Amino acid sequence: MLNVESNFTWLDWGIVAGYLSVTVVIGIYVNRFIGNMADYVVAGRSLGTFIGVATMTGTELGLVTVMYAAQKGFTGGFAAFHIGLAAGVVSLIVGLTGFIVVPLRRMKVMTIPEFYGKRFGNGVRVYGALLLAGAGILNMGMFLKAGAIFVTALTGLNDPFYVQVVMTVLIVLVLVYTILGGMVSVVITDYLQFIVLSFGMLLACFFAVRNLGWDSITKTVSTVHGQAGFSPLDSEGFGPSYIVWMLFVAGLVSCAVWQTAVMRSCAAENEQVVRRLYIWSSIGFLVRFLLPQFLGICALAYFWHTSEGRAVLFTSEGLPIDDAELTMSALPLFLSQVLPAGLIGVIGAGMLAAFMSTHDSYLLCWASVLVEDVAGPLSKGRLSTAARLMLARVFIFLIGLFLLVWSLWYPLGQDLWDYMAVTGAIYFIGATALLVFGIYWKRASRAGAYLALTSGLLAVLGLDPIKNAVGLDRLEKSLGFNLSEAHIGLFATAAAIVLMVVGSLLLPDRCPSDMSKQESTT
Amino acid sequence: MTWLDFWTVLLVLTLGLFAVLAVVVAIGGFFDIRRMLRTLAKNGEKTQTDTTSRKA
Repeated sequence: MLNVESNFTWLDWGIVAGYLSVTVVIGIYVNRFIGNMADYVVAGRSLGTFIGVATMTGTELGLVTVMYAAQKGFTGGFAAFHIGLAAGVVSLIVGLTGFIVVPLRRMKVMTIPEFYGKRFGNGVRVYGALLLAGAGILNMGMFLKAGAIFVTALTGLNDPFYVQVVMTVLIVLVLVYTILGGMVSVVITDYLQFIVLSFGMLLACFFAVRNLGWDSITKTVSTVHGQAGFSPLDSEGFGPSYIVWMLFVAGLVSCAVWQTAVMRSCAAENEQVVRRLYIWSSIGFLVRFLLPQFLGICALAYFWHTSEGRAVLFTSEGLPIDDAELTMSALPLFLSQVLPAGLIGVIGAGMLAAFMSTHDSYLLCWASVLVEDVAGPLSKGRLSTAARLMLARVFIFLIGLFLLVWSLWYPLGQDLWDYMAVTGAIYFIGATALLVFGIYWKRASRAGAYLALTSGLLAVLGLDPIKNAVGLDRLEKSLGFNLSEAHIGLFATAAAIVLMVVGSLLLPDRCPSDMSKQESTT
Repeated sequence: MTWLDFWTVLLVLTLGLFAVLAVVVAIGGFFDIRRMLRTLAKNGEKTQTDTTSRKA
């Protein structure tokens, strides 16, 4: 890693420690409000609009989001802004139309597999839940690594031993307050994190522009990336297929299919709140990419003009280095240089709280899916509330343990955002087909659902180690064509849609689902 | 309009909108949390009363 002196002082450590202690105390305090599983998972369905926006943005604008978005800004320049634009516009459309999320809220489901159960039967529910939890847990597998890189770079703690200690302390804190407080503690800590991080990020942008100057930023992007640093359509950079993939992944999936976002709409007070939540959150969905990407661009401009930064973070041809861990460290290193002592502590605390907030939401989400949609249906409803709560807490602990091992073992060979899009696609490709066709097409059948869910597994071919293992890299060379994760993801999505339609037409359901029965009686 | 102009306008607009959103949500969210905790506390009392009356 780049060896530079950080502005992080003992005052900043004090701010971080104080902030993290307050969040844990809140988690312990709100435990008294948890009466049943609905309180624990969806906060008793009592979220208002503002706190809904705060918690949705708080969860999605986490440390990991900031890290992968900044990395995209560093490696892609201004053209990376198209990802945020896609996210904001699609989220606004979802809010205005209520597409997918309003029917889900109307059905009062707590998880997406619960919808599968109501629409396609218990078998699809359990299969879909296993895919969802598996993909989701794999998806957050790099979170600890991203957190470790952030802490090391921001604080100047270069000894790997200290990093491991800090990360272990963080995961223990997250486990404690998620296990105790469930969604209520998640909501309150998300709110605090929203405030700290929103103002912190805005201030960071101000300091970055003041330090570098707007002209220097744009000129550096032009020098390093050329036209591809501005035009997302340029095939030297992102290209049209990547834009379509982002409209789907960062747009529709992020806000209407990804379980952690859908949980917020399921926790909303009513359907009007769901719509308002998405309309307001469209700004959050835009911001969560755009602001960190801009800071990543600023990091590019900063290190391009320092001799050591240019030697470590760029190739001899002047391109960003093809090393995911190094390019990810650019943002925290940059912040450690330009932010003053005190503010750096506030940003650090906000980021670490964001890290915890994302962890707690995801841990809670995947654990509740495993309890409600796998253990629940398999036990045929014999699990008591106390047993379900206990099981959820055990799953949270086990997932936490897995994350520690996976983040140390897996070699990240691509941009973090692309790793996350591919691992998430294992679930969301099938899920999108099931949600869209299950809600809006009466003839969608169980057989079509199984086929669509299974086709999502094709997405793993987008992971670099798997791609190389099955020989797709050799195929690329022989064809002279770059088969990117976007191509593979779009192909798998098309396969899921075709299989859903063909499977449903050829193998229709013999007995109607719960949802169809309800429709015929109303 | 060049791509740079477009991204500049988008960035400035986003920063402005987000600053407003942050203030509105910070204030509105505080009242939402208060209401949520009251609702949850009420639900808890109701569940306790139901359980007690069923036992009686």
